[in-house]
Amino acid sequence: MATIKKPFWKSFVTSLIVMISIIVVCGGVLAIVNDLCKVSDEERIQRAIDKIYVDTDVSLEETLDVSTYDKNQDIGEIKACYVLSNGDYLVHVTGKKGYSNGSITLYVSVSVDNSFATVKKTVLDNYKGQTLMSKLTDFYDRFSGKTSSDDLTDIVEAGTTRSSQAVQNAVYCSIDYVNTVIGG
Amino acid sequence: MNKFSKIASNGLIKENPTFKLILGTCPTLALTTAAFNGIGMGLAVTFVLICSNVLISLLKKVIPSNVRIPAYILIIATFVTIVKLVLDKFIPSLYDALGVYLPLIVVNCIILGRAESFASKNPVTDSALDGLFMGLGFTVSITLMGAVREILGAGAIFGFKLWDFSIDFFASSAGAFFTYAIFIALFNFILYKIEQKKKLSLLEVK
Repeated sequence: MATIKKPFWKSFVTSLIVMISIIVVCGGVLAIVNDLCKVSDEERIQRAIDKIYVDTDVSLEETLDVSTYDKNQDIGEIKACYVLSNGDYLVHVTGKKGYSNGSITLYVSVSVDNSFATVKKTVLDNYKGQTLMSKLTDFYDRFSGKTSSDDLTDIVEAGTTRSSQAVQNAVYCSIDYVNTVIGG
Repeated sequence: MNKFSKIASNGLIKENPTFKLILGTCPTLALTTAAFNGIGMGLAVTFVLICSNVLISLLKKVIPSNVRIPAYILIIATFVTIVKLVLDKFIPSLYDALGVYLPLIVVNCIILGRAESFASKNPVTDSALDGLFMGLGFTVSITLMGAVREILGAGAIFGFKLWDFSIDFFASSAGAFFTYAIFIALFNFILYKIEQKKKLSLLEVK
């Protein structure tokens, strides 16, 4: 029995209608779920705070204006800075000049003692890339206690020399920014 | 053997996606450093498999065959994005642990494979069951692999420290390939032996 083949335009229009219908329905469903599951900026900052201050109740107090800070732009970028309820500063910073000229974004908590900015803890912003840098834990702890007078260039993880440099740049920018804010 | 037990045994044993069909190897190798990652990834894949199988089975007569693959990808991508948004909101630790492999579920061969070979040819209930058991087969397999690698590579299970002894090799990429090969060999050897036994007993009956 011979099969009747649909004309090209008819199958084209049918395919187009079906695909557009699927796109519209899927898009609508995703819009609703996205609205229900949206993670606000405040929630993301609180998550970063909870990662740094484990078992301590610390919250966001104030957001500082970072647009006036224009130093060290070749090695890093201060994305945001927050003052926390315990008086520490939480700097959201991107370090440049990493592997293949890439960048790495971190949250750096900086405490101020006698007008000296000291790094308390450093955590990675997100783990989406699943790079080697996201698997390191002890490496970031080596920046704790560092001030602007300390040399950060010797904090290097074997096998990730260039990426370590981006982290050094990010931490340096954070300390420098907080020093600028407190006038140190 | 009724339909239900046939679909169940296919998904869990006879056509086990990880150890028999060797599908979804990317997350299997990359995420099995810990048993918890295995469960998380497995359940995410199971959810996407069930939902996409049901929807594709429902729409099998509506979707023209010449655009079926892009249509399947769209449907799968929608469910993967839903899982991604829900995990980011409610289980951020698992969302961080799964990282880039979560959106990559879209191109997971198990899901597209089942959509094309099963859901597009079978009724809704059978497709849902197929998704459930294929997903469970995948979940059990990668959780087992994750448990073995976590015990040997980190001396822990589900994050709980068992002892200080660990063999770093099992936590590495090479260790993932080695463990996977051992599991495939063992699984297929046991399956082969069971089938041989069944054949022998059938011959004896005759």
